[in-house]
Amino acid sequence: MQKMRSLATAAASAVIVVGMAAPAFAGGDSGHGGLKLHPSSGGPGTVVEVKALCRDGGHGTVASDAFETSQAQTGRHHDRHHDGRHHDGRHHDDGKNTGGDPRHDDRHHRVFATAKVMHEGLTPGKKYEVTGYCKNHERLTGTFTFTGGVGGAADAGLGGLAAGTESAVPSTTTAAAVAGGLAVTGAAGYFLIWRRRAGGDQA
Amino acid sequence: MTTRQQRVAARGRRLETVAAAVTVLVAGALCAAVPAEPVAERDDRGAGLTMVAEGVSRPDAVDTEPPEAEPFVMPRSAPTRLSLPQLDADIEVFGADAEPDGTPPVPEKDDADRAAWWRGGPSPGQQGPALLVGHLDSVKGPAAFARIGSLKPGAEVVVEREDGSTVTFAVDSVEQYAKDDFPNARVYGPTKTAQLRLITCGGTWTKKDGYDANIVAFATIRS
Repeated sequence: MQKMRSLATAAASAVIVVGMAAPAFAGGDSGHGGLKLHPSSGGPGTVVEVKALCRDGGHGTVASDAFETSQAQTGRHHDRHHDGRHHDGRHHDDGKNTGGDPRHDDRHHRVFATAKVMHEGLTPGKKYEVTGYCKNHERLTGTFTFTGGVGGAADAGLGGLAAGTESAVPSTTTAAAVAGGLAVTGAAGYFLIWRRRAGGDQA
Repeated sequence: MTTRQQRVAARGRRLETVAAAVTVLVAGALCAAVPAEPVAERDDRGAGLTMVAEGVSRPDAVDTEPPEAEPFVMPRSAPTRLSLPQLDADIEVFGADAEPDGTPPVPEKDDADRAAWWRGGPSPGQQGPALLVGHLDSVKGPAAFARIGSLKPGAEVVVEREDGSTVTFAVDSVEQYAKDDFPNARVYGPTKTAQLRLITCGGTWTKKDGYDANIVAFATIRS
C-alpha cells in the first residue's frame, strides 16, 4: 500500500510524455476520447492508471478535478507535479521514445500517468472529466466516476493466533504420550525386576 | 544379623520403590500439564477459528435511528491514538488510503501493532462511519485488534485526534461477517451520527486463504 501511496505525489494534473502521437489516432479507438483509465471508478485515494493513444510523440498533460496528485510515466523516470489541478501541457518533453516504438505504433493505449483521487470535495456517483493532450495539443478525454467509498472485507490477519492454536494440538499430544510412555516403561521395568528377584529367591 | 547380600537386596528394593514413585509422579505431572480447556474449545470452534464473544452482537443497536435531530459532530481531524479501556489497549493510529482493490487500508505486515484509519472517509467525530482497521494477529501472535471480538456493548472507545481533541464512542455491537458476503452498506454506508467501525479479521484461518471473515465493532459517538 505504501508503494502505491508513493506513486503519486503531484497535485491535480499529470504530465504525459508519449513517444509517438498521431492526430489521426488521437481520438483513437478508446471510445472515450482517447484516454483510458483503470480503474475508471473508485473512492478517495484510489490510484488510477491513465493510458492514452498518441502517435506523434512528445508530451501532454491530463487534468481532472477528481485528481489530487499524479505522476507521469515516461518509461525512464517519473515527472511529478505538485502545483494544482490543471496544467496546460507544455512541459517535460524529455525527447525520449517513451511510447512510440514503431513496432508498437498501433492502436494500443500506453500508460503515461498515474493519478490519485481527491480525498475530499468530490460527489459520490458523479463522473469527472479527465483531459489529456498529445504533443501537438490534440485533446484527449476520458471520464472517472467517483464512487465515494471503500468496499469489501479487510485482509487484517496474518495467522499467528490460528497457527498457535494448531501447534497446540501436537504439543499436548506429545506431553500425553511422554507421560504414558514413562508410566508404561516404569511399570514394565518394575515387573521384570520383580520376576527376576522372585526367580532368584526360589533358586 | 543381616548378610551383605541381604543389605544389597534391601537397598535395591528401596531404589526400585523410589524409581517407581518418581516415574508415577513425573507421569502425573506431565498429564496435569496437558491443558484440557483448548481441547474443549476446539470441539466448539474448530482449530484456528476466531469468533466474536458471546453476547456482544446487538444488530438492533446499530440499526436504531439516532434520537437527536442534529447529532453532535466534530470538525475533521485525523486520529492519532485509539484507547480501549475494556481491553486495556492503547494503539497508535495512522491515516492511509484504500487498498488498490478498493478495500479499506490495512497496516503492513510488520506494522501490526498499529491501526490504519481510512483517510478517504470521515475522521472520528465527523458525521458518518470512521473506519479503523487493525490486524487480528501477526505471524508471531496477537496484534493491535486481537481482542476486538470481545468488546462488550457500551464499552468505551476513546480516540485522540491531531487537533488535540478527544472523542469518545460507545460500542453498540460487535458482529462477524463472512468475507465473501460482506455487508458493505451496513459497515461503510452513511450514518446520521458520528460513528466508528473497528475492523479486523476473524473466522477460520487457513495457510492458503488466510481468515475467511471480518469482525466489525460498531460504535457511536458519546461526547
